[in-house]
Amino acid sequence: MAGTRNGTTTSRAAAAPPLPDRAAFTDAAVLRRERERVFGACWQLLGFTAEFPDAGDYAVRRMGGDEVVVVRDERGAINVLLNSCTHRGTQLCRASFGNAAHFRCSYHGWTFANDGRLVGVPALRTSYPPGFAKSRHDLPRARVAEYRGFVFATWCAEAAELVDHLGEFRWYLDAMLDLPGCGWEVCGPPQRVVAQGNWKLLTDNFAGDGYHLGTAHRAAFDQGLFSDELTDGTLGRRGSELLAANLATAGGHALRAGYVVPAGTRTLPVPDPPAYPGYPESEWARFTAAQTDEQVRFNSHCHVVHGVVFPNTAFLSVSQDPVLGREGEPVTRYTVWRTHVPLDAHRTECTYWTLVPTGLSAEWKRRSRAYQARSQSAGGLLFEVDDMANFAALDRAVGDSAAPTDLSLGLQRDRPAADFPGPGSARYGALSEHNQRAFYRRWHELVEPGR
Amino acid sequence: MIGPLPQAGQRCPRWDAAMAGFLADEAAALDDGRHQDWLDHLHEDFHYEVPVPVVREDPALPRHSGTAVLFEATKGMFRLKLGRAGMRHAWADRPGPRTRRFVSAVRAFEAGSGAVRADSHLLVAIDGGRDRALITAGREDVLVPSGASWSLLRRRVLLDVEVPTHLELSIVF
Repeated sequence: MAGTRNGTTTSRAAAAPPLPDRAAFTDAAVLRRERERVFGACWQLLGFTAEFPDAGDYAVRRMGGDEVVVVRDERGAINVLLNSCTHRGTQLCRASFGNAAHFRCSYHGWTFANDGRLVGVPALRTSYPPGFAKSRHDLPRARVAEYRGFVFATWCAEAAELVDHLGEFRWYLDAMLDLPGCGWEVCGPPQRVVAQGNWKLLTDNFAGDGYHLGTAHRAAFDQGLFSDELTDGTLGRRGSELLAANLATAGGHALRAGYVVPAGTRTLPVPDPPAYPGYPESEWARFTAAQTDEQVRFNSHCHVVHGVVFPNTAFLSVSQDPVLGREGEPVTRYTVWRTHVPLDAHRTECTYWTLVPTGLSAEWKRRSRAYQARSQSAGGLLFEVDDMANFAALDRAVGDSAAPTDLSLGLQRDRPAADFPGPGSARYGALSEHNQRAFYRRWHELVEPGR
Repeated sequence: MIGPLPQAGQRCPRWDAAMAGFLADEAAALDDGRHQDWLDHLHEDFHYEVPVPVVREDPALPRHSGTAVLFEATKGMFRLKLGRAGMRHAWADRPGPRTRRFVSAVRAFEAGSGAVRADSHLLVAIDGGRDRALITAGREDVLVPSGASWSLLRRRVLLDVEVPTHLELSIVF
């Protein structure tokens, strides 16, 4: 699909991929293949450069089946190091956060600089054989690449460069990040929770599951958690409806953008004037000036956008109603980025980072963070909780049989979005599994090649 | 704007029994599903927060973030949360899990302006059918006089586990 535009790739994107059978969500053997062929081969988000402002700042994170230390070294570079001593394998960092120039193993004292070099071995001269080379025992160091403050890493020496992995999806990352015409502040430390359910269930939901909103989140809509416009659009009240664009690019990346439009609107309108729901109206003109015309078409009137950077990074930006806050507060946007790392086939560690535009007021940032925490955080009792309950229910019942799953929603029903302002395969349709098909197509290419 | 929780002032043992009684009643209201009774324990300006637990190398440093929360809520949000039990589509709350709260080590401190800070330990057992959990936390509460009783103005929940499960986080601590 690389290098193609809307409409030209729809036949492949719209076609049903080979479906994962149910064992793909429960089988430890499948997870072993995923760790080798997906997590061992792809770039993965590990955090943000802003989390590591000073030399020595580190955090311990999960990368596939491994625990790694993400650390800024004394020369200012960010390293991703296996958190395991090269002598016997002992875990080096036991804290989750800290600052250290060196990591000293608690078992026999091997000591590593924060760029991974082995710099100290007790009794090296007296007791190790002549010719023992410290340099052959440095910590395994992953390839690291930064993109606009996002820190990605991969163990795979042969993997294409990060920008090639992101491919056409970079257009959408840039459009979302360029919107406020300033930088983004990472509100740390991130939230973490262990969810019951296979990592793919949580991830494909973010890729584009508009279908579950009317059922799984009906209570949240009925309680008014979202702005009137979004609620009305989603539930089809008051003559408005949600024009949803499902967009997938090569590599399994996908997003779903929701625009509230008058009922019957078939394609993305040209915004006149542009509007950015959930952001202060006083900023809108400045936002527009900071973007290209095509970015404005993508971002304007967008009430919700969520998606996946393959394999396991998810994001969501949505306007949240002040029902979650205090009287008189305006509708407020929040943006959250997440990773879903499998602990085993049934349990997933989720890490959540909330991002706020640096240029907005402290009060707006406070509200944005609060609304994320109240609805969509690890502890969100009014929204996220229904998703988590569904993933657990699915995990309990899905079994390990070859019984089928179904991802045909929207086939021959959704419509090509040839006018959509970015690359990739875009389709209009509030109810479509177009993006999940793209996600599992890429997953299948990596995990079950040739099947 | 919600400021930091008032520091624990001078220890006030004379209030320990009253605080323990209030916290026991409040916990029982939640466990028994008497939602309005529980809401009646909360001040209209009630603010609840569960800071992000962080394991740092230096044990002298705080084990919970001073800026980031796993969850926070107002009284209005708890009205919505508890109101879900009556909604057909509130899947996570129908059937709701069984909970049993055990409150101990209640200690009262002066908190200024007639308020009392009550710190306590909490053990919660939750049974969601096929899944169950036991989780412990410290709590830092601020109570203010309300008629003949007290009203809960602030609650800060300090989870002992660094990375909780979604089932554990579904608990109102």
